Amino acid sequence: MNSIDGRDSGGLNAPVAGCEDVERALRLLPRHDPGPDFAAKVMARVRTSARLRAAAAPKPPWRRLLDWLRTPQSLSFTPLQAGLAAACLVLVVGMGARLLPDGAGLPGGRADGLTPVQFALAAPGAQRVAVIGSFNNWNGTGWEMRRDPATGIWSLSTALPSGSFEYVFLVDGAATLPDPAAPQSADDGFGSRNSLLLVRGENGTRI
Amino acid sequence: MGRASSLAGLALAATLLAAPASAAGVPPAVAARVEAAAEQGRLAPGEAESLQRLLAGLQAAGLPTAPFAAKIEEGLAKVVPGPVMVRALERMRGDFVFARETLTFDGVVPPEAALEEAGESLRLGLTREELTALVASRGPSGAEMVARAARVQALLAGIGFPRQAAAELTRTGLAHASLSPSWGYLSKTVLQARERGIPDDRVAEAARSVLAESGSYNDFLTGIGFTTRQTREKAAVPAK
Repeated sequence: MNSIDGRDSGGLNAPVAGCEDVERALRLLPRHDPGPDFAAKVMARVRTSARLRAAAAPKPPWRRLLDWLRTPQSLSFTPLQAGLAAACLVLVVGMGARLLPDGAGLPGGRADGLTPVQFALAAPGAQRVAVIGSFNNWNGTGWEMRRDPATGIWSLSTALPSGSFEYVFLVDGAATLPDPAAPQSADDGFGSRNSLLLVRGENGTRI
Repeated sequence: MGRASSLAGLALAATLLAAPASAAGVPPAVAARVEAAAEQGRLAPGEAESLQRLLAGLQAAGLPTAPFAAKIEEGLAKVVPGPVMVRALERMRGDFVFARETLTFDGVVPPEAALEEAGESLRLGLTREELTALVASRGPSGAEMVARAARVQALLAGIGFPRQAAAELTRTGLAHASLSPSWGYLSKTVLQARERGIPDDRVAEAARSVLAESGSYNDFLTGIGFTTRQTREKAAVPAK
């Protein structure tokens, strides 16, 4: 075996001889004081190494999953795979809708259990119109309707819980008017009539 | 607001001090609204006093306060004249007293919600005789279901549904204790059925048949050719 400089290192004793040369060379080097913070520097390196070792230690599965979820990923799939995934999704959603209680999940329902309701009144000459009823304690504040300038129709979209309600339109803050389009109305006890509104919610169990 | 209205306010304040409405379960907001109406001259002192006294006496009579408070709010919002309001509230109290007495059977006082539903049914058009007949034919049903039957019958009467047919189907529902809350939408379904050309007697027969078999409201809808989806889509825009 040849050494780097091309000379024969000389069998089993050669390493011993090499060590002596190194020792001699080291002795010839100028002496340097390590300084008063030598120990602190060494300990700092030791602590850094410990942290690196801890970071390199195996993580629990949940931690690895969390890291994976928080890291941007690139997914690649074929159109066939994408089609199969979409079909599975449609199947699962369809099954879920069938398993829900009567009617739940059908159009018109909302997550908060309220049912969308729209009020409308043709009153082109009115300056302001509000809806007052048992759902707002007969207080029109916040229940003002909006006028469509083109048609003169006042409308208000809102959402109500399931139940039976009575209401009228309050026109220009004074006159009250039952909804001419409401199919049901009732005597209000004051000599006039209230429109009746039956709201059937998601599962229709309350009224 | 003149001197007269100030005096009216003072008179009402004295009345309130004599019989504090809040102590009798009257919502303070309603008491304040009546007081304000008197101060503004919209209610005469005597009218405001009558309303306050009526409200204050409800609890002692075992009647719920909320429907009366709501009626006063309604009257004030509609700017109903004071005497008309007082008369309406007194008539309403009479209906509720009757409903309470009629629905008290087997020594059990009806729950507040049932009493409210039955009392309102009388205002909506149910006669006292019809309410008495419902209680007499209640079968195994409790006050809540009798009150529901009363409301169903009142709403059906309000749309011109044959009274006899309405009475028969509610009696059937009570006899089989099958009148679930969904039947409260029956009048709405009848109106939709009319739009589709389905006669009332066919609807009545289908309802009676399903109630006799303790079927669900959806069974009834299916029986007359409706689906829950169709009725719900109608319900999504209930007013136009």
